Amino acid sequence: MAVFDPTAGNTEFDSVPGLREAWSDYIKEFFERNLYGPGSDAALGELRRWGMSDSDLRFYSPASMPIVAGSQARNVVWQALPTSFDDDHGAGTPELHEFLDERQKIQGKRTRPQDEYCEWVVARDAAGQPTRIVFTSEPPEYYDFLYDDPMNVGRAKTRKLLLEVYKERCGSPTVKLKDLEVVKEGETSYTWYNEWNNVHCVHMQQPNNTLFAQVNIAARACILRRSGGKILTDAHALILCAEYGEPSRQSDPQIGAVVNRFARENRFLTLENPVGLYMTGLNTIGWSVRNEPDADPQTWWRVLKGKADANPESAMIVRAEVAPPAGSHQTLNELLVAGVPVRYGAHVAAHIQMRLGVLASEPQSTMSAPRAIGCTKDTPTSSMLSMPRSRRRRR
Amino acid sequence: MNSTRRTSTEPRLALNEIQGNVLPGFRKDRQRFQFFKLVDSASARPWLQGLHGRISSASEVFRAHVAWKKAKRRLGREPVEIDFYFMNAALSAHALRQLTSNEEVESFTDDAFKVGLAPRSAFIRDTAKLGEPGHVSTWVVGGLTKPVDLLLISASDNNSLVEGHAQELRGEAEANGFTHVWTDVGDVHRAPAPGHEHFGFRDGISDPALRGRRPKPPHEFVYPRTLPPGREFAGLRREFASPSKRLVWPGNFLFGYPRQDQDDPTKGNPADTPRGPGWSTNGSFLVFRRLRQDVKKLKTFADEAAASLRAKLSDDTIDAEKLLALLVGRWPSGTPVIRSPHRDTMLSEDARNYFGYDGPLGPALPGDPQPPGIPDPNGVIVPLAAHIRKVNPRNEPTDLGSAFRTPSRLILRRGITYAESEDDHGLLFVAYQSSIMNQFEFLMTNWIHNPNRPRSDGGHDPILVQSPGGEVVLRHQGREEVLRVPGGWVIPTGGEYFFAPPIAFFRERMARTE
Repeated sequence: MAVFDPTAGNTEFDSVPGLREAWSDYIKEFFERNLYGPGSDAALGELRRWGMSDSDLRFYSPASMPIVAGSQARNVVWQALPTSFDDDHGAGTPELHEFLDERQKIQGKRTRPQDEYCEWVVARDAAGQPTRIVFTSEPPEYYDFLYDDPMNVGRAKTRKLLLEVYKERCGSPTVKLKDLEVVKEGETSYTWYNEWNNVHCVHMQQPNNTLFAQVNIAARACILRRSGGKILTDAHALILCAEYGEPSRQSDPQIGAVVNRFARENRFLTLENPVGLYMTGLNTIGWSVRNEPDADPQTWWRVLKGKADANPESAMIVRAEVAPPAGSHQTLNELLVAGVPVRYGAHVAAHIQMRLGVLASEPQSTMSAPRAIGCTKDTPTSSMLSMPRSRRRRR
Repeated sequence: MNSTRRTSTEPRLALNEIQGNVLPGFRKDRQRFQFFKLVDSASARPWLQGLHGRISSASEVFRAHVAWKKAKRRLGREPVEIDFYFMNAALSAHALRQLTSNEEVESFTDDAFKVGLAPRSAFIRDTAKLGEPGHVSTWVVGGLTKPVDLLLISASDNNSLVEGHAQELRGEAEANGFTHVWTDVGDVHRAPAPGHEHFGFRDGISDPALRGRRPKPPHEFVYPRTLPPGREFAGLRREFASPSKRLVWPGNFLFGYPRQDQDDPTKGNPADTPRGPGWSTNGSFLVFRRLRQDVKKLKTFADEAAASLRAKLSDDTIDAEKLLALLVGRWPSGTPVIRSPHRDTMLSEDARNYFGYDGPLGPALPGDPQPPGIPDPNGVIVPLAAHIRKVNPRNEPTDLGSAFRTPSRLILRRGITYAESEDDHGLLFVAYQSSIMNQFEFLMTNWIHNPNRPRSDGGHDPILVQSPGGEVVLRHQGREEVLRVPGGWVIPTGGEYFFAPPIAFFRERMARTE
C-alpha cells in the first residue's frame, strides 16, 4: 500500500498499474537516504560523527514509523518571488525583473533562476508584451521517475506516460521522447533543460528546486546545533552551521528554523503527504482590469494542476497560469497590480504564496530532549564523543 | 551572491541636504500639515526654488535637539522658553512630472510612488467598498476627489509660531501656482497624553538608527553608539547604536546611499542603492496617511472580548487593559509585554526596546531591574499577531528567511496625533523610506493584513485590521483560542505618497525652467 501519494495528489500515475506504489517507494527512499544514508549529508551520519544516535533525531519517515498521535499540520510559508538576487540587482527594479524572467547560468547550467520552489515562464507577443505567464512548482523528480523508472514498473509504460504528461502540459501533440533527452559520453538521459520544459515551464529546473532538497533540509534541520557554547536558534546561524539549503533564499532558512524549533521543543515531525512544495493561490486584492471596473482579476488566474482550496493554507497547486480570460481579446498588461500593468513574471510572483506542510507532534514530555551537535565544519572533540548522554546535556 | 562589493565603511551623510523631518525627525509638539494642488508649474518653480533656504535641514534639526537637551539638563525641566521652528516640503509624483520631466520621474524604480496612493488603497487593504468609511472616495485629503501635490510641514512647540509661519506659507503657495486643499493640525497635547496615540499607547518609540557619519571632521557617528562597555555587549555593538536603536544602513531610507546587505546587517551594499533621478540623492519617500481612530469602538470590543475570554479560559486576570496590551504587544507606557507579561512596569526608554521574541538581545542592561525576557517562539507571551510583533518581528525568523532581513523593511515613523473634533481624532501617520513597495506597502500587505505572515498561524494585526473576518490566535495555558477581531477602529481618511527631495533639489533643479 502506498504511503506517499503522488505530488499534489495527481492521478496520472493511476494509468500505469503499480506506478503509484512505485512512487511511494521512491519517496520513501528519499527519506531513507536523507535520514540514514551513508554520508555526512544524511542526518544520522552527522549525528554519528558526534557520537550520537537516532535517539537525537526528531524527523521521521511515515514509512518507518506511524504518524505520532496528536500531530498537527503546520505550514511554513513564503512568497514565490525570489530575494536571492536583490542585493545584486536592487529589490523591485526592472533590471532584477528582467533578470528573473530569463534563464541564467547557475551551477554550470543554463536554467531558470527562480529559486523559491516556484518557477515561471513569460510568453510574449511580437511586440514584447506579455501574453501568458505559467508557474510551476512541480518537482523534477516526478519526471525523472517516469523516465528512469527506478522501481522497474516497466520503462516503456512510464516513458509513454511521460510523453503524455509533457503533451498535456505543453498543449502540443508533437513532443517526442528524444526532445527530452541529452546524450553525454554515449549515455542518453532525461534532461531538465530540454526545450519543451524551457519554453513551457513543465517542471522546476533550478538545480536546488527539488523534492530531495526539501526532504534533506527538513531531515538535517531537525538536528540541534551548538556553537560558541550556545544552542543556535537563529535561522541564518542554523543554515550556515548545518549547511542545508541556500542561505540567500527565503524558504530554506525558514524551513530549517521552523523544523529546528519543533525539534528543540522535543516534537516529532515529518512532512505532509503528498510531499510537495505548493502554491496556495494568487492574492489579487487591489488588482483591477483596465477600463473594466467590475471585472474580477481572479478570473485571470487558472489552476492547471493540483488542488485549489477554499482555505489557501490547504491548497496544493503545482501548475497555474495568469492570462486573459478565455475568449477575451485583452492582453496581459491590461491586468493591473495596484494600478501597475503586469510586465514581468515577478509582478505576479510577488503575490503567490508558497507553502511546505509539516506534521508536528506535541512536545514529548516523557522523552529526553535531543542533544545538540556542533556545526558541519567543526571537528567533534573527544570529550564530547566520550561523554555520557546525561552529562552532555548538562553542559 | 557577489559579496566582494559589500562595505562596512559607514558613509558620510550630507546632513545639510537631507530634510530634517527625515533625519532626525522634528519631534515638535505642534505640527501643521498643509496640502496643495499644483496648478501652474511655471509660477511654482521659482517659489519652490526660493524655499531652499527655509527648509530645515537634518543638520539644523540635530543642532536644535542638542541645544534643547542641554537647556533641559541645565534647567531641570522642559525649556519652554526656547522655541524652534522647522519646515519641510514634499512633492507628489504628479507634481514632479510637471516640475521636472516625465523621464526624470520614470527613473524612480518604485512603481507605488509613480502611481500614487489612491489606486493602491485597496491593495494595502483599505476597504474597496464604495462609500464605506475608509474608502478612497471618502477621503478628506488625497484619494479620488482631493488630489494633492505639495505637502508643507511646519513644526514647533510654540503654537503661534507654527500658525504664523504656516499662514505665511499658505499665502505664498497660493500666490505661486498652488491651490490649498486641506490642512491638518497635529498636536500631542490634544491626545490622551503627550507622546501617546488616542488608544492610549506610547507611540513612535522604536525607530531604527541610521548608520553613517557626520560630514565634518572628526566625522562622528550621526547616531552615537551608547551601548554599555564590556565584552558581553560586543556582539550587540555591531548591530545597535544603543539598546533601543537598531542600526540600519542609510540606503534603506535615503537615496544616494547603500542599502543594507540583506544577510549581513553589518555591511552595506553599494550595488543596491535606491534608483531615481540625479537630484534624488539625499531625498526620501514620504508616506502620509490620515488615520481616524474610533477609540470607543476598540474599547467596547476589548471590554466584551475580555469578558468572554475570562469566562472561556477561566482566567480572572484577563481584563480589557491586559487584552489590549496583548493585542498591541506593549502596555500603555510602551513597556513591552514580552518583558513584562503581567502588568505595566514602566520600563525606561532604553529598556523598553531592549527585547526580542527569539530570546533576549543580550545580557541585562546596567540598572535594568527586570530580566531581559525569555524566548517566545510560539506566541505564548505575546501573540504572534500582536501589532508590534507584526510590523517588526525583531530577532525571530520570518517568511523572508532569517531575522537579518527584517531591518530592511523598517520605516522611519514621524507621525503625530491630531484631534479635529470629538468624532475626528487620530494619527497623522508619516513614514520615510527609500522604497514604498518594499517597506510601507510590504508591511501593510505581507505582514499586517496576512494572517500567516510573517509567521504562520498568528492572525491579522488586530489594531490595523480592516476586514470583519480578522482573527488573532491567542495561546493561553496550552490552549489555542481564536479571537475574532472585527477591526475598523483605524479608518483611513486621507493620504498620498510623496518624495521629500534634498534641499539641493529646490536650490538647483527648481532654478531650471525646463
